Amino acid sequence: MPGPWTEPPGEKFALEDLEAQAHWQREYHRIVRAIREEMGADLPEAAEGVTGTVGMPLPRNDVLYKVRGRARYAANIKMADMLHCRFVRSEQAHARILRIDTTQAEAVPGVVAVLKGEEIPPDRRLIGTLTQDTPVLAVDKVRFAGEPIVAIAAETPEAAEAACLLVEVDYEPLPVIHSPEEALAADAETIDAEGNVIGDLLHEIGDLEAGLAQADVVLENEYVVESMDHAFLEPPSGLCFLDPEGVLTVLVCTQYPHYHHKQVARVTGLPLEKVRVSQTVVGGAFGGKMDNAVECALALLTLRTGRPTTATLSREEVFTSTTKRHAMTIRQKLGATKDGKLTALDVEVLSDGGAYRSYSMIVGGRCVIHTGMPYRIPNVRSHYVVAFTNYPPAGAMRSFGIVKMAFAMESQMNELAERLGLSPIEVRRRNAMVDDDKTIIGQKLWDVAYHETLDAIEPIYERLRREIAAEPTRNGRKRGIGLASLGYGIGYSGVRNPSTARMYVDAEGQVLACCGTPDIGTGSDMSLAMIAAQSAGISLHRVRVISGDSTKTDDSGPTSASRTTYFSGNAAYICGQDFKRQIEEAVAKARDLPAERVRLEDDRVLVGNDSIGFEEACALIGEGTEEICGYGKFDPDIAMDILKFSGNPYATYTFGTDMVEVEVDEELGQIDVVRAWTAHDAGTVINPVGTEGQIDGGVVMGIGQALWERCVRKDGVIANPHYRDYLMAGAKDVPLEIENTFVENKDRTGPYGAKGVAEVSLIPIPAAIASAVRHASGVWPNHLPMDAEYLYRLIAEARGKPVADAAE
Amino acid sequence: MDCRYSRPESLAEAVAVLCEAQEATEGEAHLVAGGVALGILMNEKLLAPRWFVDVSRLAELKGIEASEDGGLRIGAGCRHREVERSPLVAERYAILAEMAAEIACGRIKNRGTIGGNICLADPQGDPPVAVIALRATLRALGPKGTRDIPATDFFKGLYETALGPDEILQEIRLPPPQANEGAAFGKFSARRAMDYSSTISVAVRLTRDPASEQILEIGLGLGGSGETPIWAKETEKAFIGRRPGDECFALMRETLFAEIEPLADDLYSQDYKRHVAAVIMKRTVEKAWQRSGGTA
Repeated sequence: MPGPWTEPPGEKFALEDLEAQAHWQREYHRIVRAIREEMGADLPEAAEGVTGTVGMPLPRNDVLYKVRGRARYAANIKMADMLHCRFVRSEQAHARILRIDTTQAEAVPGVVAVLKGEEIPPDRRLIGTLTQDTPVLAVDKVRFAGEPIVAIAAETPEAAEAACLLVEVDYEPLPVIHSPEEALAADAETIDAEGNVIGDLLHEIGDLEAGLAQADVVLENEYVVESMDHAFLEPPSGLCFLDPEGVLTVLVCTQYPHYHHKQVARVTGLPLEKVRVSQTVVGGAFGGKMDNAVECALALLTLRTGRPTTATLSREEVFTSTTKRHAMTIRQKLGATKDGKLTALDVEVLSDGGAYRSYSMIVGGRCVIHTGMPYRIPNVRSHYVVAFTNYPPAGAMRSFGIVKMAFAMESQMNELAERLGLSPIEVRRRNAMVDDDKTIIGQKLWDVAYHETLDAIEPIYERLRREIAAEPTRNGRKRGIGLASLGYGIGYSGVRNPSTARMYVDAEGQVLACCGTPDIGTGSDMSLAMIAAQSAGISLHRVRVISGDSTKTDDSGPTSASRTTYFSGNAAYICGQDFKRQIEEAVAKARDLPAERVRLEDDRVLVGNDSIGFEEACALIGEGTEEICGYGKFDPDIAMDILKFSGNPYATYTFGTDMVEVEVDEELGQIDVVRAWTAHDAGTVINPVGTEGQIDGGVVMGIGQALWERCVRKDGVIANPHYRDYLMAGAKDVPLEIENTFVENKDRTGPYGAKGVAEVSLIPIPAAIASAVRHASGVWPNHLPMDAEYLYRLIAEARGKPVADAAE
Repeated sequence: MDCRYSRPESLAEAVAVLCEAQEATEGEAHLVAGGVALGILMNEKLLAPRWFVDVSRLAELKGIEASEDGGLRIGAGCRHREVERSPLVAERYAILAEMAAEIACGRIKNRGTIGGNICLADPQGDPPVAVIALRATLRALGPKGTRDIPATDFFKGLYETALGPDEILQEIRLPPPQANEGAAFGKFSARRAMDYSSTISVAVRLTRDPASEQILEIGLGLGGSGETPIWAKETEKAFIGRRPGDECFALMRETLFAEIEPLADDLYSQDYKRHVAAVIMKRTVEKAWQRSGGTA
């Protein structure tokens, strides 16, 4: 099969000729040099002829397009004759739909199509990630305010919007379920036909009661985490059209084009080969671009009208209709002996799944599997219940719930250290997982370098303790430090999730690497190019990665769960080896030599005693290059019995420890995170620039989620559906310093020894901040977000002051 | 919907065009200076003007100069950034630079104007609070000529000012600084990055009696503490003849609570916001007192 050379309509970047590129290339290299000097990297430029780039700090080449506004976001793609789609959304949190009248809407000039759910054949109405439970458009019932009911396509966005306002929906309101507690009440209104429980997961090891009895100290706390939004800057956005061959093509910002491919085929009834989903540049995802947002409605409207149709959600629609982080209440008991050995852990989680299932079961499963990580605890009981409520569906979000589990677990570890008079590092060390330890579901670990992350943080911790003891306040604010750790399984939980890669070459020596998992802004295309090039023995500059196109790559799962570097990286590595072998064989054939006398390395082909450049070799192979297709598949044996919670759910695990310094304004309750330090066991770091970017981003996101982020829920609606009132960390809230360490380790199963790292730095941040607040002000926050009023009241209460002496 | 746009060449012409536009649209004409709040309100569909009168390039609305009486004149069309960076402001009314530095973010400071912000009369706005504390005079031009409105009388209700629909705010006139004067601006926001929803701001200008080491006079404006930018008249009176200190602030807190009514919002309760207003007031008065040469 010849390589897909032509620039597809879904091309993520608007390409230009070389002359137009030259100036920017020079600018780019100037920036690259500056970064490399700053990083003290005495390395050659990754220009022509440079091989073996794994581990080099290389700025990504997509940044050039992005800073110049040449990156193609879905909302910016225009097509002739394009229609604009808008949605009519439920104003009720829970209601039966009695009547939908679209007569007036249809009469609006410019309106071309009005689509109701009942017009979709019944067997195609429902979609969903794991369970097909979510209507494309609600038919007889709405389960949350913001749920789409009607989709309208019109010549202009204004006409579509005007028409939406004229759709009349008559509702019969039903009792609204605001919390999982309400959902589980005996007389609760039922949201789903199968009841209000989405999942009830339980796993136990050892003997909990005996473990608690052995303990000298038992801590018992409750932790509450509110609902949060992914808060990506780019709202879900897409464009759908019929290509000249009649293939229904969807260009969309997504983490998982192959998922949408299957869903679109399902909803339209088209055969799979008549659908194509191609990813546009993604402006942030964090787990929030794995469910259907606009894709299915656009597909149906395009089929109905025969015209390209586009939609971009408004910010308000993003906040009120896309998936959210689960709100959770975690009740936890932790037992330990007086020398700090953990004896028992009892975790009871009640989670708010929102109106539909989405990734609720995956989040729940992951939370149970990760209970107690990264510690050895002989007696554990983990019970996770997730229930429906009448709020937007809760789904996947960076760490799949583990940031909340860590908020509870790590807070208790810190409290335990304090109770026992041990340093938080020492108490962790006494329980830290090492090679051959087993997780609570029995998976045996390998290449664990968790201890090393503690070792890396310890001197900083000790230095800061001394500094703060000598100077406990700064500018009238109390100083404190806190740390927390993480252990995190990479990839899907307990189901096989292979990745594949293919490499093609032309007679000029240009190489395409088609990788299944898309780049969602993390720089994974760059890392995969580095791995593929190094594995094949060719220069990085030759390799262009094609990812995110459902017809040019195999379904390799989504870019989520920190899996792309590890899974697709392994596939790219295997593929590179295969590609190299095929080149060697083709050159051998052309020169009539035995294959073992030809070797591709350092971007040159050694032919007998001769050495020729890679391009020359490709020219030599000539038309034969069309036959070359390197192939790599990475499919680790991941299997878990979900009912018994036993088996090997993850292909590898990443570990780490984060520390923060805070300043607390006690009079106001405000927390400033002024510095942060991280140490991660990420295995081999493929591209330090990208990896540090992920770590820094996770720290900053963690600060926002710890201090401010919250979907305010009032009477069945999200009351703050815009960035004015949904506060996340901004540029000025970034700590003055974030210092990252990567401990030396190689994962024997990873590409060049790499593990995944995308989500992890976020996980310990809220618990680390809570512990730093304890150090500074003597209180233990157990609520996220720890906003100023919350902390002010907590401190006032602890000091025995009237809680709000401002009152009356 | 039909929408007109005019860009008059002079302030006098702008007034004439505005009169015509208001009449033609039955009051749905709107001035454009920086276009910041206007853009937000239009995006949120709270406002749909039918005639835009663009005053953003009028030279008469520009410039920051010393006035004859030793005070300062700031053109209503000056951008926040100009106020923040003006050497004249820094020299005589550093509080304004301090205030402008706290406004939203760089992009908004580069576009938004001080006059536009005052005319918006947003209860969370920063410039209104400062002009109240500084006892500025707001000079407006209308079809009947020039009118000087004291800043303390300017803010009438939620997004409502003393300005007529056909009047244009021309300049902000500040009285000359006095001996032993100190001024400061303080602001609370949930995060350091641009914040709007729950900010509480306090502007203070005071003079110190060096003989008694007491407050001789004081101007006190509060933002985010009610439906309008607040002139804390009673608290001002109560401060006079006192020396800032714990006892004084405990009393002032009570007085302040009687004249502010912050709105509870999605983030904070009214009680907490009252508390914050009192804390920020205390800190800002302390700062102004120190700047006046007073000792803590």
